[in-house]
Amino acid sequence: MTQLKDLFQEEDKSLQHFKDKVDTNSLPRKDLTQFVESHTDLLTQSKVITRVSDRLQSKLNNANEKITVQHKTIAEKNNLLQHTVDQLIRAKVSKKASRVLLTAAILLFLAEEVLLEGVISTFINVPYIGLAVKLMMAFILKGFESTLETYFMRKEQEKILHENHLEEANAASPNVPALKLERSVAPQAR
Amino acid sequence: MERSFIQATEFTPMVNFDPAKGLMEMKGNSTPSDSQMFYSSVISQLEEYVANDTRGIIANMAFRYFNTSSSKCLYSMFKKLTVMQKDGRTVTVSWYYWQNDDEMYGVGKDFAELMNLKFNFIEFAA
Repeated sequence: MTQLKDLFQEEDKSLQHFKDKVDTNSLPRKDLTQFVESHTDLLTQSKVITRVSDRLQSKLNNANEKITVQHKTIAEKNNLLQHTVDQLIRAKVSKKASRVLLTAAILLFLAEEVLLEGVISTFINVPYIGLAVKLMMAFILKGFESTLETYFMRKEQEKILHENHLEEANAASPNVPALKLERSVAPQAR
Repeated sequence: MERSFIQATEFTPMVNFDPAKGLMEMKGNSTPSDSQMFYSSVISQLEEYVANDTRGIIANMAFRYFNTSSSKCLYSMFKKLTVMQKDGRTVTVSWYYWQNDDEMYGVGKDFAELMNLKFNFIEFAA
């Protein structure tokens, strides 16, 4: 309010001067002429400020419209990027799960062949029982694949969240030495 | 009278007032929280120049955006230029605006038309 008063101090002074004249009933023609001049100036000023403000408001509106369009484009691109990243993570996780399962399958099949095959054929005299056991193991492992993928996916998401938190913390405190990505859990205080 | 120079900031324009050359330049954004405080020294200097010098003035204005209270201060400055013009002194106002900034061009037109000043309109490359 004080700033606004300072901004219009000349106008306030002029108005006060005229009020004083009115109060004392002394209004010579010279003062009236001066009042008309002040009023004319104020009117011109109002016209200028109103027109200029309207134009600059329109400029702001245009800028806001541009920002809205840009924001929409960025959001679309972000969604597309997120989709691609998700697909990449899924592919990476799937590959990892397949690798783990393949290793497990080879180990189990070898164990079955070396350790169980002899025992089974001694106690159960059914043809192709070894093959049936191997098939059963393959089905069980296949079912385990999706569980493993979900587990790796969750781990990957936790890793991304952790990295994001660290980035945010480092950005929020630029003067503090940067936090490092560490997987180990800090020792608990005793 | 000495030359005064104010470096531009994010919210205030660059101001260069050189009475020896009869040159006044402003460039940038003008959205100070207290426009009166920012412009008071320039207005006072201009007032002094109008009162004590007999030469004309060259005013180069290049604004990207300004707030309403800045427009009031610009009005006060242009009013002093109209006084100079009425006294027969040469007043040259160049209004620079960025390419495609129709609004700022229009603002210059409004000032020129309503204050009876002749503006040279010069477009900047964006």
